[in-house]
Amino acid sequence: MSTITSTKELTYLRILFFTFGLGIMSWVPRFPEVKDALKLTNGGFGSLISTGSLGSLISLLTVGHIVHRIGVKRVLYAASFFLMATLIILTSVESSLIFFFANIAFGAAISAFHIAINAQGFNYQDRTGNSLLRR
Amino acid sequence: MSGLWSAGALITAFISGFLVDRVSLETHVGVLVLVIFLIQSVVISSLTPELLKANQEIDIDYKLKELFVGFSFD
Repeated sequence: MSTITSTKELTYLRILFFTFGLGIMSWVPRFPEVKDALKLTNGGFGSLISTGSLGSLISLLTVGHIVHRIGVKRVLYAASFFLMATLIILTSVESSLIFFFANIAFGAAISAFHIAINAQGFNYQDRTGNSLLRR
Repeated sequence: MSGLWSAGALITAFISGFLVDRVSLETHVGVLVLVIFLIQSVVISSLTPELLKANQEIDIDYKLKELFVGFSFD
């Protein structure tokens, strides 16, 4: 299998981090529109949004082991897909129940992507000796 | 790397703020999501030779029980 230079690898990792932030924060300034679509009060919407941490907790417990078992590539592909799919659901749905489950999946996908990309970052750091991530 | 994540988050927040009342939420998020997913797919595919592979050593294996036994807050 062909390899890529460490400079290219670093550039690709940078693109992944950048697009990760670009994607997951895109809907935050538009929360009022999402809240209106769900017909919720501020308190109700705030409570519903915080349920994302449930999915995040599940991912934090399991994804490190999944990366260990199936590798970074498949986790990154799956996390990227679920991130984007759930983001579309979250911004178009009018049912609080569907939003609740989509938000848990969104939180889980965020953590999964985060864990996989950082695992790769630490691996890059160990291989090249370049300081990339803070321990 | 966290700086790049933050830069992405900040840029998208500005763009989103600008698009409010100009472009519908569905169109905005739909187009953005499609572009980002395509970029990430190409990048992950290009990174494949260097991406961490699955563990091949059977003696280094985690059990489901260890997920919960080893969990702690610090």
